[in-house]
Amino acid sequence: MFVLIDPTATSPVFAQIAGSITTQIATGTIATGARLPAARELADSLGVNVHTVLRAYQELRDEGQVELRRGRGAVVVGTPTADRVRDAVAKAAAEAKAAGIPIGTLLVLVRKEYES
Amino acid sequence: MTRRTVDHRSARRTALIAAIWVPLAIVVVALAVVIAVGAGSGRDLIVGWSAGGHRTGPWWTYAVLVAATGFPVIGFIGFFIARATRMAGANSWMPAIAMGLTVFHALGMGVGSVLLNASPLAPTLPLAGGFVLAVVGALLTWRLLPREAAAPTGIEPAVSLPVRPGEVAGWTGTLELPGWFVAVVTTVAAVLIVLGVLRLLLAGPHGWPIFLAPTLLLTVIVATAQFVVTAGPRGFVVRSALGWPRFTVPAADLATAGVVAVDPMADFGGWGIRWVIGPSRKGRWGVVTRRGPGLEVVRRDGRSIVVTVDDAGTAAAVLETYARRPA
Repeated sequence: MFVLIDPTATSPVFAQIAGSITTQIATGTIATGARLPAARELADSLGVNVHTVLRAYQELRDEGQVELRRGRGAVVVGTPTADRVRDAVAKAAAEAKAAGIPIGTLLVLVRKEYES
Repeated sequence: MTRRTVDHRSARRTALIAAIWVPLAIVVVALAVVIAVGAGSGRDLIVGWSAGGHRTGPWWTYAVLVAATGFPVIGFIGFFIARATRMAGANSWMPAIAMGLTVFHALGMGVGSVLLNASPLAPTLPLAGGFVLAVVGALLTWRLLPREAAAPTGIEPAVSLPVRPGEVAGWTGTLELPGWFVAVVTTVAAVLIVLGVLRLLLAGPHGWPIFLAPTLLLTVIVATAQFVVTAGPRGFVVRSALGWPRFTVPAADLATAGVVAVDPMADFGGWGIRWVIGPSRKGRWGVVTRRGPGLEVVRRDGRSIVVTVDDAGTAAAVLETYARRPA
């Protein structure tokens, strides 16, 4: 799992870690049922305090994105809303492909819908 | 005599011929001779020689012996050769082993023992002769097989990440032995330990060394079943889930990192934790659980570590970011 943080930024590091993991769960980079690295390992890789990572994991648990189980660590649970959005996007992409609509046009359409 | 070097396709083709088709032909011909001579004689042959006398058995004992050793050996080695992605390292001497084993069993123990069955020189002559022929066959195979042109040494360094000042990139991954493999080994060890306990109960405590091998086996498998790999500003760490064994490359010692195509047999002579002198001649550690793309991390002194983690490209990019940054 790849995480990029900026300790000099205004938002707290634990929120940055949680945000990075949230994005990866939403895009499917981290699959449902996958186990997040042990807090100790992630903290070591980033050179941050283990409590910072634990706080990020608790944040994710409070949002219902992961389950914290003793002995098993943090496990990603499927969030139905994220799954639904991903399915809808996959469907839209398939439709666009079938109709020969280029990706740029599809992205413009998505943006228009999102902002309307 | 300089060895020919050829491209992968012809190296693979000749290796398959030497490891499968030629030994297969030898086994089939040996079977035909054993069956022809044995069935032709129509009587029992000597199947066991000992100081006191000898045992006889039906002539087809030898046919079964030739088939039951020949085909599995060819199948086993052929399986590895067919899956090899590079005819180098251990892959390049496996055809010679297939040839040697086949010649010894098919010609020495099979044909030789049948043809010289009643001779006073049996079983020494067939076995010794078979052994000499096997060594010659193996050496010839080793000498005559063309070598695959060596893969370009040195790894393709990953492109470092566009990390801005103040930002920190980290990567974590895991490396696991295949579940079925762990299951098989733990089952074998468990069965051996249970048998050992039974033996202790029946025969008394003096047989305790029987536990050494299965316990060692269990310890090794537990220690190497899972590795955690981290890459970040502090450098690179590969650590067993138990904490030991572990390998560390501090960021200050990082020269470069990249993705390499790993063929366990060709590059490390097998799976698990391995050490080879490597193409750089500086020493190359491997934590190898599968073939395919892996991460290679090179120290400033040229020593390196290869781990077969998934997403090795991201890990290499993270490490490259911290390798290039002036300390």
